[in-house]
Amino acid sequence: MKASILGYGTYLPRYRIPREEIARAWGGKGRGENAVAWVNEDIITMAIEAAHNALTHSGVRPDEIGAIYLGTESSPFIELSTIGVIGAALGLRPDIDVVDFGASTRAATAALKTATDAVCAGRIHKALVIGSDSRQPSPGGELEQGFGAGAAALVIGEGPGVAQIYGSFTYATSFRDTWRATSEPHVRLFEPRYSREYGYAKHVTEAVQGLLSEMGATIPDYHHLVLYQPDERASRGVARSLGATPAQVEAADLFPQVGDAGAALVFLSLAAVLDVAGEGERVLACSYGSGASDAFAFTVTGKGKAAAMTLDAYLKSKDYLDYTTLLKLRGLLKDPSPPAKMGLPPMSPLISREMSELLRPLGAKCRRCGYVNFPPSERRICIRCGDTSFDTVLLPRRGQIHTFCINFYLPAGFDESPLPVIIADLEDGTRHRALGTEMKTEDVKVDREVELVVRRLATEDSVNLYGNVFRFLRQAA
Amino acid sequence: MGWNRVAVVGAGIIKFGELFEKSAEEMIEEAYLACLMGVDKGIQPKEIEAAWLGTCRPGLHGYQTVGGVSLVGAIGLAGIPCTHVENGCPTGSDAFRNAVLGVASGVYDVALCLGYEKMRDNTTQGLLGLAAQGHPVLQRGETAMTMFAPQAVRHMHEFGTTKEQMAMVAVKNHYNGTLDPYSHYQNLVTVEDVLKSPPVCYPLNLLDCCPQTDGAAAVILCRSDIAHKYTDKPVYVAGFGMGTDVPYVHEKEKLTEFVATVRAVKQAYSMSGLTPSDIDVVECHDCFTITEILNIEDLGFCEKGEGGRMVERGETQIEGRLPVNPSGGLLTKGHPLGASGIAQMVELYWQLREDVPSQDPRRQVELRKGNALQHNVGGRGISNSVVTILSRNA
Repeated sequence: MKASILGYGTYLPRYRIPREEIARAWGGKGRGENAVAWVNEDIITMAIEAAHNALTHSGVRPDEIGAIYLGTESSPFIELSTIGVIGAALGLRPDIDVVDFGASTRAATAALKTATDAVCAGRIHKALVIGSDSRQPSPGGELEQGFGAGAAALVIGEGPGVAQIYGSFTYATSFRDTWRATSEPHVRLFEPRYSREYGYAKHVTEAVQGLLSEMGATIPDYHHLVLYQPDERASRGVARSLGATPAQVEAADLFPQVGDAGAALVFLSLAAVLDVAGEGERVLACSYGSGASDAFAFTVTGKGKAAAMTLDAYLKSKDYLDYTTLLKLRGLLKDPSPPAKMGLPPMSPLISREMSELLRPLGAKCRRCGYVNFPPSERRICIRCGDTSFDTVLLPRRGQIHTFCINFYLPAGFDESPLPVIIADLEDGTRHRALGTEMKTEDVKVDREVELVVRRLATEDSVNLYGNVFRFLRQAA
Repeated sequence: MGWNRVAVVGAGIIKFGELFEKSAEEMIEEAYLACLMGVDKGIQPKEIEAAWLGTCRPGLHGYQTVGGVSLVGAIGLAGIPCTHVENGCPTGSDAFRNAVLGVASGVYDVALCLGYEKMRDNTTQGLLGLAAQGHPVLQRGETAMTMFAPQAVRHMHEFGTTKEQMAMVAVKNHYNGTLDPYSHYQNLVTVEDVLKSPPVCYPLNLLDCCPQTDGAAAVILCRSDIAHKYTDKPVYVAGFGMGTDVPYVHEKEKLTEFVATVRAVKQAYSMSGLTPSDIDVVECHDCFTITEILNIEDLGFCEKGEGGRMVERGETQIEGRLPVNPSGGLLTKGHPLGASGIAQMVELYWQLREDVPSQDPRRQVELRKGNALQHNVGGRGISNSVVTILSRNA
């Protein structure tokens, strides 16, 4: 094998629900916290930010990417690929390999296996592999205490890169413990103890031992063990029975801070390990989902380029939610009035035409006067000088607030209220208008720094509309 | 400039308010009849050769009544040419401008211009919902407030304008509204009332915003050389202008002015040969308190940035140096979109003739040069403005 991780990127939502807060609503006790997708976040928006970070970290340009493989168990759609929006937001080419992996929390490692094979076969040179999940438990159920959200992306290609992938092993049976029918909104669990022992522990152990045996290696050969964590304890038990020391699993222990982020979790934990691992160190990772595990072996080969946002920064920049807000985010507590109809539904031709330029976002820079027209398809004649020759430019995502307002009185269908409207000057001087998100009213000020991120703007006829919104820079609290 | 002079010879308006008991057609009919009655020496309906209708959202009261026929049909004038004008908040004044052009061209001698809006048959949520129909991404979340409030924030930031100064616009216009029997609101408010009213869109509070109002108003225009057939006190159209601007807020160069207003008023001053110091009274577009502050700057009545202080000094009060919105303005009289511009014409027609219908003598402004300025600004991206200068001088 000669495939490597060329770079990686992560994303965690800003908001956390303390498990104690869930226990307050339903009884029992809770320790630690779960990352929770904000009202305008889903697996698509989280995947976009993680993939941006991975591309930056790898130094790979979007047009070099030859495949995008996304693994999730919580896609908003049964039919409708999530990847089109992600590709448009990242500026990927249309003539690439595109596959949605789903139906399990091991979907992202299945995607990684496919990417590794495609690179090793020489069919694909560089692949983007993403794990993204926002897991939906039923309120009051056993799973609610542990379900989290997040995304992580790997750029896979020929090495050396950050870590070489030198082995994988899959173990799958007909075991069933968690499931969600297409007609159901929430993941269900048959029985926690049965699941932990006969599902999680058995499959992870078999996959890890299978890989070790195939490679002629033993647990002590690895500096770090990255195991999927369905709860606080299960991975520690498996590690112990495999003969691993607590030091070998420490760096990958994200469950207390993130919760079970499904398909994203093993990649997130791998990123946590790679952030601290030294060159030459070996890492063993293993996923689990509904009766199947994929195990991988890596050797750390380098550090990659500096990422705009590291996992550590996402872990530290956070705010806490109460349980009522959590129910609103999950759509379980909502205003029953129908949302105000947009002028165009999200599947309109206009949105398809403008999707890429609005999401990236792109501008048309006038060759005569230098004004950046936006969006390019609506300005074929420069609005400032009337010239008709342009260069397409990528708009910077960061800027400073020029002016703003905060709307307390909105039509139905807006999830954030009060809702800021931000008019900012981007780093290249282009003025840009977008809604604000995750902003407290008293914090919004002229000149404050903001950045554009892709979020869900609306849902109509069950289809989501995505676009850029401004948020404050994520900084450790 | 080669145009036949035009005069206003009749004006009529209905009491603005929440007219749940009246249909759009009743409002139109009432304004039309008031206008006919307002012609001093009388006029026969058959003398009206053409009509212009201003209404901005003709489907608001439940079904689409687009087109000029909804005016002539309601007033028994089906048969004559009638054009429906829709141009955002300046709809009424742009209908007036087009009627003026019709008469100025020499094609028509006498024309009717009527504006109405039935705002209150719809819910406030329903009206807000209409705002959701702009560009699904670029204008997501825009409502009327979000198109003016950012200007307030930037004006406060650059020029030190205060929320108190903005509140003083509401205090003044509420006072004026209590003198105007046609005004929707008939109550006084204090600066503290405005500041303590619920936040609607920071930095605007409820009393910084105009209400949701039903209304209709009409004027009759004719060639100025036949005006004395209808009245001994005609009011002349001295000049007018219309300016536009780029439609998206991110494309605007300055967010402390409405450049459409600057462009419109430049044309109107040039056409009339008048300057800001020749104007005795102004009816301008105070949909929000901040808008009136921007307007008095954009219209040339003070330096850019001085609007808030000009209000604070009391110069825009009815007895001040330059009375602004003696009718109570949109803030108090109400803002039935298509009617607003025509209602401003009606007010200025009365003021210039010194016969405002009120028991209270304080309602009449003091005339020095006999010129008045009307102004609207709005439309998609607040990118169009109409200014009309009326004069009692031929």
